[in-house]
Amino acid sequence: MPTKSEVLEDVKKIIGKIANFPADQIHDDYTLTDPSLSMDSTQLSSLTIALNKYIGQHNSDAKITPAQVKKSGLTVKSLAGIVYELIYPTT
Amino acid sequence: MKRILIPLFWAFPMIALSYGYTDTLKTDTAGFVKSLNKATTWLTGKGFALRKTLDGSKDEQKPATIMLNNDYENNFRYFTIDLGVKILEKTPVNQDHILWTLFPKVEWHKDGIPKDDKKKNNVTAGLNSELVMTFADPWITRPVITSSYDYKDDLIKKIKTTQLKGFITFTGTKNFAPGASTRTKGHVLIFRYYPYLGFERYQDVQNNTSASLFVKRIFAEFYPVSTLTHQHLQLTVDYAERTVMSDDLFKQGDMHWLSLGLNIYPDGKGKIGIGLDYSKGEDPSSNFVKTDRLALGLKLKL
Repeated sequence: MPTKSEVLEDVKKIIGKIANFPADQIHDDYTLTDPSLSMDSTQLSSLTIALNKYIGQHNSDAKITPAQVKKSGLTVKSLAGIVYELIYPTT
Repeated sequence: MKRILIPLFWAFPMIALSYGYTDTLKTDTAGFVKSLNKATTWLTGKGFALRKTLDGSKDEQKPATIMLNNDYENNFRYFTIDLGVKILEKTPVNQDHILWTLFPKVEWHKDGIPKDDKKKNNVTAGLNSELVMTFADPWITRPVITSSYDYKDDLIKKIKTTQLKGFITFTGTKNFAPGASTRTKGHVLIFRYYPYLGFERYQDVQNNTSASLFVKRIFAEFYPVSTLTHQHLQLTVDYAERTVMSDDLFKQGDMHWLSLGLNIYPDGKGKIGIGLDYSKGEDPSSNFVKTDRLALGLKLKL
């Protein structure tokens, strides 16, 4: 099972693929919809699908929703935190 | 219905604009933008979005507009308003390769030009659907099907219509693919485009007349002078060709619609800016009124 930092790196790889941006140059504080990533609504929907596939590899019951991914101002690190919480639910 | 919808349309931009506005706008533009960002974060967190229109296409990338037009030749001024408010998003299907989202929306499009054949004032309420599928990496395996069912009250033409629309496009991930972010070697986004094929059916609920149209459309946005962290200039191109399959409602033959936009965003993030719009052809937001217009105004995108 991945650690918190491994989840962050995996989330960056998934974002990088959909945003056509090199994962190793994505900063933790990048906002999904702002420059540099500038992801639009359709790309965020694709990201939701890809993240659910990733979460499903570790915890088949949990799902991230489009509303969570499309939340204004969401950063890469915050998103990775949500994914981590879904893989390792605290309650 | 208009008594409910029109105040609603006014309320959203005013909430966004008034949030921190009175204390900061005159002396501190950056503070105003910061306050606006806080307001937009709150609204989008509640599932709201504000756009030029929410017609199931990439017009949704365009910000809402309130424009003051000045006709120097004829010496008159008038407002144009194009607002679409997305209310709440629901997700009936969230599977490994498929995501289906639904959201209700309301829209208001008004053109106060003092020429009877050019005026428009209509309100729309409806339900939008977006079905995103990603089966593999190539763009052809990543279709996006958008559709909408709307009720529109055209207060100028006195036409009440139901409108059914469906389009297919794609969301790629590599440079130059449809729906992909095409970037420079320095990874700066420079353009993105979406081609569409679709169908539209308009039904007059009072006279039982209708029109069925086959639609080819392309939307593109360009960021010619961007840096990695700021996009101050956005150019948009939207062209649609509507071929008549049957029509005893509008009776205008095949129709074309070109909309060009130039937007300047002082915040570099695309949330608030000033824009110049040029539109020509039969306007789909107003039952295809013939339009040829250049307008300057305020742009808001939440």
